[in-house]
Amino acid sequence: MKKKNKKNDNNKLSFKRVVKDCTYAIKMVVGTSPIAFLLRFLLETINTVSSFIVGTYVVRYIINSFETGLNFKTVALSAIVMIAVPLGLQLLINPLITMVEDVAFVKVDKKVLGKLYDKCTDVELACFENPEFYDKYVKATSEITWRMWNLTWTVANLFSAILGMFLYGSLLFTMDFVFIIFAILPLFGTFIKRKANVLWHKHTTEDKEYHRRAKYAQRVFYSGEYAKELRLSNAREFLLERYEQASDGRVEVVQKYGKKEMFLELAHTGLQTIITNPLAIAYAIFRTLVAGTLGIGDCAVVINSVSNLTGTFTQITDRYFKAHEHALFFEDFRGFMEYEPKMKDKENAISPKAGTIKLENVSFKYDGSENLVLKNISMEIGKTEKIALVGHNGAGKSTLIKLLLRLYDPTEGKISIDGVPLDDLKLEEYRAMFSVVFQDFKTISLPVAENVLMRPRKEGDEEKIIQALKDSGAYERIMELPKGIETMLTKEFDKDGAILSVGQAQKVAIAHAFVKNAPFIILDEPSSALDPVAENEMYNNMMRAGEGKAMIFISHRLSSAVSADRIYMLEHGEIVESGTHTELMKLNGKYADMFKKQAQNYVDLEDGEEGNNE
Amino acid sequence: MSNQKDKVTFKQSLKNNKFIFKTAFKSAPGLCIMRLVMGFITGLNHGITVFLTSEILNALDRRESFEQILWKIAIMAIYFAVYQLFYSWHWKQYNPKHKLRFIRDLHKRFFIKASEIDLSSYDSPEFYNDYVYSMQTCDKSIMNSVDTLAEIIRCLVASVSVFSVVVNIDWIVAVVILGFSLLAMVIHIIENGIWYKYEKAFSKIWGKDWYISRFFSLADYAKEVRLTQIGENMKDELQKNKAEERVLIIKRQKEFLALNIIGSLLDVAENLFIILFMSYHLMVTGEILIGGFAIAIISANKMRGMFSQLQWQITQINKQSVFADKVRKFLETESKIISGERELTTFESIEFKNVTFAYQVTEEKDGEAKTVYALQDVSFKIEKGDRIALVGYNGAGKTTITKLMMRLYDVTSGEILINGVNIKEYRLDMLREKIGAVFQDYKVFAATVAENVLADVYTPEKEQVVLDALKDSTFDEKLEALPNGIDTELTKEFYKEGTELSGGESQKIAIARVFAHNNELIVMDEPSSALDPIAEYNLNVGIDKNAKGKTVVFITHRLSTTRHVDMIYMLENGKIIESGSHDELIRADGKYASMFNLQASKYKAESTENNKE
Repeated sequence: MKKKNKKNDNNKLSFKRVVKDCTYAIKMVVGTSPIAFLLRFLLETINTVSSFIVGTYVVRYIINSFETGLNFKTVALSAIVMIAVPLGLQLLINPLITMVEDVAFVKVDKKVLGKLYDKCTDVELACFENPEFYDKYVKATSEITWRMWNLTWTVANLFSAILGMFLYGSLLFTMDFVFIIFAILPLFGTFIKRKANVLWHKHTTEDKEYHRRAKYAQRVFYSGEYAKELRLSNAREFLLERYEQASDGRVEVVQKYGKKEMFLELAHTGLQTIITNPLAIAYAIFRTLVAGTLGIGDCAVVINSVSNLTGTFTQITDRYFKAHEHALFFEDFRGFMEYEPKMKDKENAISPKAGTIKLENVSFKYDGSENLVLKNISMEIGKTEKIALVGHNGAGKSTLIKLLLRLYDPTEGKISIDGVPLDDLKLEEYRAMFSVVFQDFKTISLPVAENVLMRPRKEGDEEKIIQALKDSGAYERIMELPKGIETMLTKEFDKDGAILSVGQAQKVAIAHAFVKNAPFIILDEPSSALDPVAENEMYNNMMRAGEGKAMIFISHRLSSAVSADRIYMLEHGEIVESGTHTELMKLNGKYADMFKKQAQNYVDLEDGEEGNNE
Repeated sequence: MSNQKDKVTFKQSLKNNKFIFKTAFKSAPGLCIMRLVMGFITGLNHGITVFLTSEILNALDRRESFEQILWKIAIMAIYFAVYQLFYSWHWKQYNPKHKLRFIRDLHKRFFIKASEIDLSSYDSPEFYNDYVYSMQTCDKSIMNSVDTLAEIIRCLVASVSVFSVVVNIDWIVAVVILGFSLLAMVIHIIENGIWYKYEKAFSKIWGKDWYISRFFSLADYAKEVRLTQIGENMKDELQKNKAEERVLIIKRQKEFLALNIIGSLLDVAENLFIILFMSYHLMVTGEILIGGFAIAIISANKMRGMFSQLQWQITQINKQSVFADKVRKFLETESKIISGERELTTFESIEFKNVTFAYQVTEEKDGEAKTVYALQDVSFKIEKGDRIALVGYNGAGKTTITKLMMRLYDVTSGEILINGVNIKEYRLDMLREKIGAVFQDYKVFAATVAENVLADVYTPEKEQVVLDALKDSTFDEKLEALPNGIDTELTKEFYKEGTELSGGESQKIAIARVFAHNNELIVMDEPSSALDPIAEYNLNVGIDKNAKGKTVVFITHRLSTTRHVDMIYMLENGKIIESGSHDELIRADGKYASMFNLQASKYKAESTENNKE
């Protein structure tokens, strides 16, 4: 992957690579809808042939017939046939294309997106959290179908341009081989164009950085998330300043490259319009008037078709660079599609069974980072134990959860369940053993029912959903919604969709844990958005859901840790204390300190009240 | 009926485009004029090219001398050289440079406007979806209007100039081409109507596509997708959506079919007519010569090309009008929160008098209009130096009270008084200056630590202020670890080596923001929610120290904080249901007491255990 990155940074691919990447994309389109591709190819071919015949060949035929004194009727009849055949074909293919092409696009889109989304689901989470991977691959895929589709047009167009080059070229060549010189001359333009392209890539790469910065300001001013701060502070001032700097940077880039680009553009187009075309016309007229070796009709045709011939050259180079541009995308897309997830089931992977999860000397660091986020963690989670993870922000609690879920594999050490290492187990089934409520749980733009289920509906699910909502305490509010559990969440697709408060949304997320009924329950700070009453209710509900199951929870409010079977206190990625609440309080270490500080006010009160009572 | 409707929208769209063009012209007259001139010149170029070619061909017909014709060719080459130079200069130098400057100025104008419109505008999903999107694309949509106009000029000039060349050769051919082009135009207009008709249905489908794509490609949902089967639900949605799109496309394309065939037939007829008519003139009547014949064919093709481009450009007007309309509405949004004129120098007291407030005036439910009040008849008074706490369930209206204090919204009825005067009479900037707030959804800007703390431009003399504020918000330990101290860039938006802070650390920055300003009224909306217990403890110490003598309003779920305050207001469903000091409320044994006891129970149990030992 690293090698490829380097290659892409240059924004230049070899001809071979372009062909390979484009073949890959075309295969995908043709594999799904060969007819659409074929029709597009036919249409482009016929378009070229018919414009050659109607615009050039027939004209020449008529003029020559006129000079040789042929009868109008014969000429007219032949002309009609010559024109009617290609135009008639066009007439046939056009409606076919109308009916086939757009439908085929949807078909390809469906297939490509399906594959893409499967892959998005398969690659490990680390890919999403690695910005480089993310920018390069995942984001690049957003316009993939459109690119593929456009490529088929580009290729068909390229083909027809080459065909046009042969048609016009051979016409001119049959009149006089000298004209070939005028066909070769513009080829030098291709070199200029290539140079211009390299320059343009440099230009856009430099611009990108400034553009990104400028876009940040747009996001801040328009997104609404920052709206309050902007109104209450002067942050606007430095944001405007930064925006201006970024914009000026962009102008500077234009100034740096603009002049060179201008001359290259001038040289490229000028080679044709200023030099080649006038020379060709002058030569043709010389042959007609001075040497007398070219008929006046042929001369008119030459004047007409020299620019057509050079036009095909421009078209060919343009299309190639377009294909090159697409290929850069396909390169990324392929890189993504061919990326082998590091976490894959072994061939003899077995189905997991709920048991005791054991971590032995587990250490972990994120890819590309030097620092260990977790150091030498050893712990055990029994089948029905309640485990609390506590500690400062950034102590590694959330990372530990991710390792437990095998969203990441440990850098060192071993995690096993009843002695079987995690990587011997079927990943999907292993993960299915967990119900998780994350700190950053999300509502999804689907009906409430599916937000609870988090899987496709089956018959008889309804009762389960309702029970789960009742257990999590969300039922009443959900039933107030116009369509009950069938109500769409968010207004993304449905104007009547419901927007839940954070607390309500959290309850829906917890309802999922109830409905899933998995042997392990993980709660990552589940009550942070709730008021005390709701928090307590939730806590009791969760404890009920966790009856007879293993439960791991992260909470800043130590009150919930009190009843845990075991508390692990983490600091800087290490377990510094562990034991029951009573044990840790006796130890009078960091946990006790933390607990006392938090309990202070409540405990004081207790003492105070006692004092009053006495 | 529907046709008439379309006509009205077309008129409206012209009006919208005019507005947008005016906006563009005002901020960058040079750029706009040059773009239009460019349109004119490129249009004229078509005519000149045809004219020069016809001059050469006619000269050939007239058997002029080679030398004479050579001069004509030379003139043609020189003309092309000049034209190309101008063309390259405009597109590679002038236009990109000035366009970027235009975008810069335009965005700045929009930024300022965006930061001044009422916050309530953001609550309306319509505003959010429509306007925010159009604001983000305002540079493109506005420039597109100018581009379209320039392109229309180009096509018109080209058509007219080529037409005049053709009229010179044979007026019948010219008129026939014009007639065919007009017919083609009618077809295009009908086609456009069909597009327009389906657009809404399609945009809904594409919106869903876009959501599904985000669902899979954003990190936000990645964890859920791996741990549950929800990805399958989304894939089902994709299938359903694509099936719907397919049905819709087939329906639309069927409507296009007949038009398409008619269009192609017209094409064949036109081609045949021109060739036959002209060859008849050439071969039978002898009215034209070979050169004229060739030029007529070339020009006819050119004219047809120009007309079809013209049609396309005209359809663009309609499309842009949709954007234009949004931009226009945004620019014309009037702020309802208007600054007063009275100066506010010191803060003595703030009083809510029978304040009632609703975010949206009415909400349709089962056909009945029903107002949902966030606050109802709320009255209280805070004196300078007071510490009060607002407590209550989620959605009880606690945060709304603070938003009203800062005039992010205005009350629906009742009044808010500062020093006995309605806050609407004070200058808005002075009012907001007096109040510092840490919100639940605090934000860190992509800027240096110092700029983030000041929420303003940083100058070295403010260094001590920044350092003190960071110390009080207990950020100082982290600060030592930062590479450039208070000049460290936060977030990776601007610099790759920028520092990303954790949730708790970000919140400390937000809190330092309040400490750095000499606000007299401080609002802490759940300041400790992202902090661990130790950090919370330190923060409370920091607030105690820094806010001495200042008025502080706490909004909190953790009732331990409320013990020290002078006054607690317990809210429920937008009403104050209990008020008093902690001890008073505990003694009253109402809702606050039960809420507190619930929270304290765990700690209490523990403390008794401890006491026993």
